[in-house]
Amino acid sequence: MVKPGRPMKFRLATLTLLALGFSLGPAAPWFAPRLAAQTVAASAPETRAAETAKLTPAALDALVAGQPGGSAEGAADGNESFLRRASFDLIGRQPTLEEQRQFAAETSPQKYRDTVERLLASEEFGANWADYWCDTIAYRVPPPELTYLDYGPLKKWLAAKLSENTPWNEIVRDLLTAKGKVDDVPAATFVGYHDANPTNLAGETSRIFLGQQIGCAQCHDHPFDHWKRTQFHELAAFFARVKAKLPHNDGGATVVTSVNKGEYLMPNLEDPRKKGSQMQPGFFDGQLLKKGQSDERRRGELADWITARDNPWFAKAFTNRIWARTMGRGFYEPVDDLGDSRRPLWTQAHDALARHFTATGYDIKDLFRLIANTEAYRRGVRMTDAAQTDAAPLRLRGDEVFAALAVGIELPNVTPPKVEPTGAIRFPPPPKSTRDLVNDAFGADPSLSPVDAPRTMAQALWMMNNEQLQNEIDAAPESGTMLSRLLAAQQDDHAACRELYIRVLARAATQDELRVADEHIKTLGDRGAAFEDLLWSLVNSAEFTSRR
Amino acid sequence: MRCEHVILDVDMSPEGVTSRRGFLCRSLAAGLGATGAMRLGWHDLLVAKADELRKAGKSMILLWMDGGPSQYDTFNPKPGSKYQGPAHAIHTAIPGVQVAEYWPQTARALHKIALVRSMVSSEKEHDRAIALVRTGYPLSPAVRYPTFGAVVARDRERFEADLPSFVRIGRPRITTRDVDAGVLGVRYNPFKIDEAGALPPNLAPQVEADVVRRRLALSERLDAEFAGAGGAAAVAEKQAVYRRTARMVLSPRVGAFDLSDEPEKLRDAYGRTSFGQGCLLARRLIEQGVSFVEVISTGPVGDQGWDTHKLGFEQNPLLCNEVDPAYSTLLADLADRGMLDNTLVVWMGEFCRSPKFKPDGGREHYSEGWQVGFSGAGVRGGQVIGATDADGLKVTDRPVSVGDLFMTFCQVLAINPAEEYVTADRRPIKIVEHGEVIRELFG
Repeated sequence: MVKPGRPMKFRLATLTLLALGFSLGPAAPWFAPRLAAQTVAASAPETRAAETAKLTPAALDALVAGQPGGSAEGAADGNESFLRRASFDLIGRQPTLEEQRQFAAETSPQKYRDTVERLLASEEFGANWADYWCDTIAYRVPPPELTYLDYGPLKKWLAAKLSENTPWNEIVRDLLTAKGKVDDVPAATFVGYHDANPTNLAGETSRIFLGQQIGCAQCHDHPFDHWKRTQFHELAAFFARVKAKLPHNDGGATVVTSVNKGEYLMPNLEDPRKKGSQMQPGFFDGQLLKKGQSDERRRGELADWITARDNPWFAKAFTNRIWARTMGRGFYEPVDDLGDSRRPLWTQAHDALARHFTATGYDIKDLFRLIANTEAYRRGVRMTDAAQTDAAPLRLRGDEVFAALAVGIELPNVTPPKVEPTGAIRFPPPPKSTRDLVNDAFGADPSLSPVDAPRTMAQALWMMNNEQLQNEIDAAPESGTMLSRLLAAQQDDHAACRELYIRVLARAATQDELRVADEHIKTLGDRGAAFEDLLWSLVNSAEFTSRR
Repeated sequence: MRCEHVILDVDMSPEGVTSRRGFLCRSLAAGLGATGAMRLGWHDLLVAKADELRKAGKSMILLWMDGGPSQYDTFNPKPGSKYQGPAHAIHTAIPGVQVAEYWPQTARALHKIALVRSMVSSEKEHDRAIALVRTGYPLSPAVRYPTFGAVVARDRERFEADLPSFVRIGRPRITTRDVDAGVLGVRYNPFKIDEAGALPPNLAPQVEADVVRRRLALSERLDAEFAGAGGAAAVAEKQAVYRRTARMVLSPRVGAFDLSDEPEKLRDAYGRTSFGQGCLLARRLIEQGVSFVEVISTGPVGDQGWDTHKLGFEQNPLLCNEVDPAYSTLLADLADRGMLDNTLVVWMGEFCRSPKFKPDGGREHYSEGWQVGFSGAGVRGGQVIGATDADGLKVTDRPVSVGDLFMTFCQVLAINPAEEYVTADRRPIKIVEHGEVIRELFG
């Protein structure tokens, strides 16, 4: 247990560290030379430094409370929505009726912590965040010619890694260095689906894992940040000796291999027909790798550098994304742009969180545990930009919307049969499951700010009219739907209405809502039709697709 | 050209503009910029004239020949050349101009078409060529450029039409090469109809319209609790989207998707094919205020479409027979209804075919001397622009670039090509980078 006096001390300790120049913001950019001892086991003073960098939930609360809008005092209603919030954030779905009943019946003050532990231990935790990271990669992969990319293997691999709590640096190392066939070595997806294209991989590696947008520097020095064109191409040179082969139709058969020779050429801007300049692989800090190195060495060095403990952006990029999903907004928005010219919020909390994540050896579940056990999280504090106090709550991701429908109204996931290629139809697109269709409508690039992925008419049409979904909004006893069984079991209208709210919105109905439902049932004079309307309205509510 | 920044509804921070959606860089012609209307951008002038423009209602139909049609078998036959193959050339409504024999009806309608025979581009692979000629930009791993229909949809959004501004009819033959709204955002993606005659998925309510209205009203009432608990912005956004969606779902204009009330004779004239009925649907949608419709021709069999590497002698007549009646009937139908003056009809594919052919008539990709047919919206039909040599190897007169094509589209649809939108990674992109309007079209 945390002793009462400790948080303040911790906060002071953190602030002292920040004052001593550990701040990793724009003032101290990371091209500070790498520590020579990086590969040597941490020495005793370093171990102590790591310990002091670790945060407790209370220490994080203290950091957050000092920020405008960060006080948990103001967020009064939060505990009621805690279970739904934590379930979506950790395992990607709303709690079932049973889970809600168990949580409500539990009286111990430990129940919040216990819930977080239960959710972190669930296999669904890995699957949920695998969806998130696959989306983060997939939304920016240019569709290759004649190949349908399959993220199934990567999702499965990532889900297992995340569930067994593999440290983030190890996962990233695998993604950057993997070789082989995607079906057998799913980590090869990142390089393979980018067709091993060095410029593409330079931009995406830096964007996804470091939150640095150097893509602009491909053609010119970055207009706002400090990236130079040569830095971009030095990064691209790490991928000079990796090749990918994407077969027709089946993305899973993509193969990533190393070749023995070849160097990367930076295109000649003045005259693109002329041969470009040969680039040595190089990090942003100016260190260059010798020419002629093998692919293994190049990508291995790149992974070392990306995941180095003194590379502040590695931990900052990760914590920024997790914070955005769990606290409603990233310290930086959009979450993949931590550039010098950006104006982050709550930088002290971000710095402390990144240091904590580094000190724990990139322990992912620990980071979630830390955030989800804060008072701020429990009470539903939502980080907002001071200029945008009325910002909308986060919307659920596409996979979460499907999960909400699956849990809430038992929407089945139907996959049509696969069409095999024939002489006439050589490239049949893979069939779309119900989940795929929901993702088509509700999915969005997780790197976009919510304002850049607005609600759409396609989403409204899906909820309003989709035949498969509407089949579940059927009160007729012979339909066998969740609604029909609920109405048969709960003859009392209020009881039925309460259960519907718990199942669909994972919360208790308010008195006002019960009154509106009463009126509707009375006006219509048809219990079944009235409850069909009610269920339709809940599924089509703004709340159903929001994280609150 | 000078560039003037007109800031509309934008969040400013010390670093500059933080909300990309409101940030619009308007280029003004030098002459206009020097006048007193300094702060009044092109777009503002357009909004001021919105009613007028709406009445003008310039729309566009793109007839997309997916795969790259053979110029020898369509609109630029080379009788007497060893590269021509078996297709004869026939006379047309324009004296001295011939087309391939598979186009008898279009030949008679050529007075409505301005034929550009001298398109030149650098892309000979499908994915790269499709990206180029549908977005105006080369395929880029960094930026997913929007297809032109999405640009039009974004521009026409302010009119708040019942039906979506951008509709696509038919399926691309190979979906990995598809283009969409890209960096403009999903809201400008095309409304997709796989097969004319059927409603797009999720458009038709599964219950009576009255029940839909009743449910919408109940749903809005039940949004109140969430609105009061920090969800006000989400509720406002949701309700705005639902009102727009309901307007479409419940609109009588949705009837445009149902072809059954068209006279049988007219349906026959378009051809009882996917493409033929698609063209008829395109006319009906334009009639109901849709701004951009593309109809995809992939031919009657398989996914080879117009990409006739194999069996060209056998496939080309089939492909042409599907498009000839549809294209010519569409032009006649639009003209009969007085709609041709306000509708730009464009016939094109991503490139053309090689002069050399295999024994079965298969031809490879070729990107010099491909063709575009323009009709309507002020285009002077009955003319040919540009030419290739007697064998169709080289463009010999008036080469036209993809940039020229897009400049021309913009001019007709009253979209400022120099307008810039800003991507999520703060990259400003012009609607069209460079090119010249094809002036002869309007002479």
